Amino acid sequence: MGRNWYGWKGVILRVDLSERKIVKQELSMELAKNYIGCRGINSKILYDEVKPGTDAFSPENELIFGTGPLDGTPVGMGRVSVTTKSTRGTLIEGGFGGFFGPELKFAGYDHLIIKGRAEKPVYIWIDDESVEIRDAAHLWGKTTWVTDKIIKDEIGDPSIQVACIGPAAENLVSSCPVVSNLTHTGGRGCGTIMGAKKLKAIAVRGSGEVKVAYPAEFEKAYAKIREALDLRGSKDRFTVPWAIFGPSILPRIFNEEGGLMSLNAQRMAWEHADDISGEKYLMEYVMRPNACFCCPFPSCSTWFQVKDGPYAGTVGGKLTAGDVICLGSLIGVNYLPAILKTRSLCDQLGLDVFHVGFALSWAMECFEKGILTEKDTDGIALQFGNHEGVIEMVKKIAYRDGFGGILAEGVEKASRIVGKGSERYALAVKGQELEGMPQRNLYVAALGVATSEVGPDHTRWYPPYPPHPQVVAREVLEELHIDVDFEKALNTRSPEGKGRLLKWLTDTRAVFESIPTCVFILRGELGIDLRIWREVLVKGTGVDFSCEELMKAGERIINIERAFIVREGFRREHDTIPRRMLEEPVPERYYGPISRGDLDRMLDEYYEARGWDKGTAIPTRRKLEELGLKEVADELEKLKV
Amino acid sequence: MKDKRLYVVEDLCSGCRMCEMVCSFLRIRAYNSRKSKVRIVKVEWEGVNIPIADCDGIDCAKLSPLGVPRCVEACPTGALMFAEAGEAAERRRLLATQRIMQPIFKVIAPWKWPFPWRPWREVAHEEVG
Repeated sequence: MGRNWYGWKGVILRVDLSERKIVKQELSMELAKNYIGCRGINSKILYDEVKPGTDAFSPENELIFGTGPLDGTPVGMGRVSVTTKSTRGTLIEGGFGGFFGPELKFAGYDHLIIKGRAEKPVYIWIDDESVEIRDAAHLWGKTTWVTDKIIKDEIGDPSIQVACIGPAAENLVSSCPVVSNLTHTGGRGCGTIMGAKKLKAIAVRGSGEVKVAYPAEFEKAYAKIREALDLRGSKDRFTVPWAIFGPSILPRIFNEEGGLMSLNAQRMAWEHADDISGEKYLMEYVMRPNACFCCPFPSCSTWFQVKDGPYAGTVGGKLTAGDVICLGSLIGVNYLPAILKTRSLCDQLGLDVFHVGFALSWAMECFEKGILTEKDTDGIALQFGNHEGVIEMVKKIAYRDGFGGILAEGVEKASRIVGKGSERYALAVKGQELEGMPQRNLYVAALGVATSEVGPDHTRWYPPYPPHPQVVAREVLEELHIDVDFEKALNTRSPEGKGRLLKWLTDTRAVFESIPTCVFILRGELGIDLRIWREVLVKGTGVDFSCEELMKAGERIINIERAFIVREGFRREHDTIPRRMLEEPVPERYYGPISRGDLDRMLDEYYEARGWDKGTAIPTRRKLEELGLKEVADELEKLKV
Repeated sequence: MKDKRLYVVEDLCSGCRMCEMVCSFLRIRAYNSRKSKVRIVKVEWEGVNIPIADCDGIDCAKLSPLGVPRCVEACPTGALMFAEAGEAAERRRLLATQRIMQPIFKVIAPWKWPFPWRPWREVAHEEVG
């Protein structure tokens, strides 16, 4: 608009579905400097505009899509962040890759804020400047894949981008993601809010451009990132397996290290890990490469097809480590085509695989222990490994049919409905199911899951293992003032040094997700050397951020998110991990649980590093004022009284 | 260089649209896929990505110290190549046979392996092939 923007487009689009009003607003430079973009600005807007105590399903709740300054350039990798207030009371932030984010950027918008609630199902059609709210009665009840195709046919252009929800989100199943490009899902719970707003889809076509401030330098800075991803000199043991097989190789590596959750995390090693892992997937089911916008990794979201067996004809894409763990080892399924079928079904119905996996594994353990019987589960024998039963149940969850209706509430609520001591087996934190990352042999993951503002979300501290101190040049650590003792932090099964490590991880990842870029490519020095990212950001936007300012911005983002959940009543006692991780040892790998004492020590160290009150986990006034968040400190003080 | 031109292997295209971005950046110094001479058509419900090049790459290759067009340099999977007709045919045969032996070549070209996403410097593509 008024200003000449580089990187950012400088426009926020507001759509009010109740009043069918569409407003365009200029982005403020101050906001952009303090919160960068994408996740950062989303969180700030949500904090400012959604008042404490707002009902998640009410029209006052906002659903915010954010692209960042470098989305639409190769650095962005197509990431888009979706933020809203969840039914659990926390804020929920999640991102997905694909092509939706760049298209929104090419259409000329940094953020899309959706408010209100439509009376009848609608979808939003954004064609550069023109924005329409269209009737979606004919799309309601359709799967995400069919919706995608109908909208593209209707507009008559196959190259538009669509982000939509499936029938599960329409039925307000908890933690449904938004689905884009058929297989890219993100924002666990954002789809549900979209369903509550009766917004079926958002379709975008953009013909504009993304300008960078210094083209030649920007290109050079980007080349550095690509060089760091080179396989030959990689300083990270995960780069090569990830590059060849994709993320689905991780379960096998986890298994070797004793971190593969199986049978509802009763065991942390599984003899069938090889049957479901990446080698087999690549060898037998991968059809062709597929990637997010400008991502150099071709095997991360490969397209698959099952050619024979009971699930012949199943197609889909993007088999992640989380899918293999949650739909495989966790529920005892060792038949890869069944996992592929479930994953494909989850995408089409718009279900969250983590929700499905942990809800089913909980039900299966209850079934094993006799708490649930076939009478409770509509005649489906939910034994570990019964993949026909799993697929039947997934459909029931999406349509809230019978026992599926209980599982649809999320595992924590479901266990409270069933009772009889089943709460013990529900693996959830802050009401949200865990993810594929193990806790008992990776203490920083346990701390990350416990303290995450949105509930378990591995992208907030991924990758969780620090680079070896020997491969990181000393001057990098000194120049960037990284206050982490890597020697201690590298010991995965000790509480020492984890608090400071997690603070640094979450701050930097908040910056990366606000630039944005994909956290899954942060291999080797990319995950540690902020100077590489500062360079692209400065050359791209023309704003002279320093590394300290970026770290401050990351800290500010975490603090504003924490302030949001503090307003909603979340305190230190909510920062915990499931009882199983605190009490049960892992005999097959000879290690014990994380003791409560160890968890408390890690939490103390984390809050201390953050400058938060140790007793309550509320950011202190001193810290907030240091970050320029005086109004937030005032508001928190008022609420505490 | 005279008889070389741009060829595409659709089976290898990951649909990342990197080529669109570098092409438009070369032409207008900004990122806009409409301004690119290479376009990727994604037919998502079929799981297919089809690169379409409205360009033979010859003029662009002259600008590069490596002697290949910008999009070929940037393509992470080797779906775009700059070669003579015989060489292009040879590479397709190589891909077909290598795929049977090594599943990794389902997602990346043998002529890109093992340096798949080396950026536009240092490694000349001739060397890799």
